[in-house]
Amino acid sequence: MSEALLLEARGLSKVFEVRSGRFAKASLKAVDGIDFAIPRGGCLGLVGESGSGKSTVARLVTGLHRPSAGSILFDGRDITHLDGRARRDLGRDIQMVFQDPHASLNPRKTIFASIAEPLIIHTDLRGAPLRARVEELLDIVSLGRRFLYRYPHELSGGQKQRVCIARAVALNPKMLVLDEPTSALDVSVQAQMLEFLRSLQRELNLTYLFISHNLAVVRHLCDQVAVMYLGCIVEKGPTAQIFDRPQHPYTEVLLASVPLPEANQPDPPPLEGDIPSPLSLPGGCRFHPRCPRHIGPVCVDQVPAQTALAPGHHVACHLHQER
Amino acid sequence: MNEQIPLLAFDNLRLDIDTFDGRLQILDGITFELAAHETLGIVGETGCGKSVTVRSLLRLLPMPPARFTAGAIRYKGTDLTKVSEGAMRRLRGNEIALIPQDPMTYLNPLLTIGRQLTDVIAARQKSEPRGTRLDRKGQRTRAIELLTEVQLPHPERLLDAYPHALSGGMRQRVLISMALAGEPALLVADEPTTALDVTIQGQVLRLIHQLVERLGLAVVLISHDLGVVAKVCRRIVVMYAGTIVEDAPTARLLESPLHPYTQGLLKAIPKLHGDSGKLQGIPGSIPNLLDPPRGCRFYPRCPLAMDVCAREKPPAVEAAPGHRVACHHYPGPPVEAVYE
Repeated sequence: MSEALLLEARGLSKVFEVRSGRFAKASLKAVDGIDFAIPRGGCLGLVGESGSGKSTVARLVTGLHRPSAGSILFDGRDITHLDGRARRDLGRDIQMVFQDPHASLNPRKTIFASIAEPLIIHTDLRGAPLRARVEELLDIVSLGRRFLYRYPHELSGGQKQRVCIARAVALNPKMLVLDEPTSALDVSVQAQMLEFLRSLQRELNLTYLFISHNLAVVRHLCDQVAVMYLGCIVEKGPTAQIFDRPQHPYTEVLLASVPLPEANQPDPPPLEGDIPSPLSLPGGCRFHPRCPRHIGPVCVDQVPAQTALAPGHHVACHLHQER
Repeated sequence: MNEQIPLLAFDNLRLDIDTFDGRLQILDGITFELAAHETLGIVGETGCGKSVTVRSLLRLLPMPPARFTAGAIRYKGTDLTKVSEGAMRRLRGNEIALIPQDPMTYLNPLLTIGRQLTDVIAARQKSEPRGTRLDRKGQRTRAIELLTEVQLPHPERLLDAYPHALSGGMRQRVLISMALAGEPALLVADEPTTALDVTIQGQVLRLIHQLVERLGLAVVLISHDLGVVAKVCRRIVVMYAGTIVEDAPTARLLESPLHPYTQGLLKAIPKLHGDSGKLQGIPGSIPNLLDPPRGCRFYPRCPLAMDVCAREKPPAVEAAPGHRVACHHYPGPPVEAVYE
């Protein structure tokens, strides 16, 4: 693995055993053999609709789930099968910020107690130095010390999300996994949050894995994008390239479906039907039942391989393998 | 119907809600009109009063603690704040129908789609003359018609399905078919696609758009997403903290917004194509409605606030034909608000 990469996933899969009916068991392939890498200081955006497996990827990277297959390398080290203490220590380096700031803070703990918790678990800071560090963290997220002894219900959504971020960066992690951090916020607050995340990344030299269904937000914040559909990455590459010249039919449809605040927008190409159940995945290319550019039996029978179109720009579609 | 009277007119409506902490001044003089066959979008952020506005239109707010303190809501000339609950019941569904926000919670999980849809159809039959009412079989046929109308595949089979077997997009279509069952003149949609994925959202918005065109419905669509509203509506009303700050045709509002709040809102949206540069948020937060600012409710956050803004409520002025704005900077040349 090259020195420049902080995180690399190879053939990462996660299969959940679920009950179907009374006795039968079925396996749900939430993530199916995906590869991606994030360079140090980079920001990878993972986009996709519900059920595409993007949150499962976040949980695999942070160790909340164990992969069924494949491996995850972090900072040159295989972290796929870490246990006990080693796993816990990894928490210093990879931290997560969740979607709903209202649900991820304990309502009975003060802001001080919430931010101090990781410091108490992982470091020897106590008393005055601990308080000083928490105050410093509040300054980093531009909240100020008057928030120290407030409770979550006294804060707005944007302020709560800043507290969650302060807690996540308390241990000076190398990487933040952000799972839809702005989707519970209003657009005027979201704008401030995105600018804040940008400057935080520069200031603390962080690497981001940013998960979102909001494509405009990803375009604004991320330098690389991976588009997921039913557990697979269908296209990945530099943000500007993918947004301006999408190559996979799914990426095209996804981008065209976003309603823009513009008058007289063109109607998106029709995309028929719903996302299939991950319990009964379509064979071949998983997108073929809904694909507007379906090219025949090859789409139904064969799983398309990842093809490199340009350095760093990969697409998994039969349209591009013909060439 | 008389052509002179608009289908719906909010006339300086004020609504308060009593709480243990005091009286929340939720709506502060809401005024707008909607003609028959017109599509209107109401946009605003959390707590701006957009949902309360449509809930007061349908009289779905518990009263008390909520109460109208001034103004009127005129539907075809009748003041809805004054009519009896019985009369309101006859209006809901038959004249004004609601498409709710969350398709997951508005269907009863224990009853089939067919049962829930024919219940709605049967309820409408009560207002029909005795001889022309549909029997059970007729109601079922009508249910199939409605499901076909919202482009659901295999409507006969769907009638016997339970809600859990349907995806979010399908459930929302079922709810739209229920709203159409009473052949309303006005459709009210409260964030109809917020719970849906973006490709499904596209399908549902297109369906609403087609139905509106074909059936000639008037629509009030509420959303926090200007993109969604721009897709369906010809005119947009922007709300802030219980007041209407701007009311303009869609293209005009998006291309030349006049109110500092609308300008801030548009600049806060990241662009999908091209570089959006540095995004501008709107610093501060919405005022406490227990004790709202006396003058313009936006002035504490407004970068262009003047002395008069703190003292006096700005009246809505017509800055251009069909473009009304409530800001002390108007009438006058357009101002431009810059946020940090």
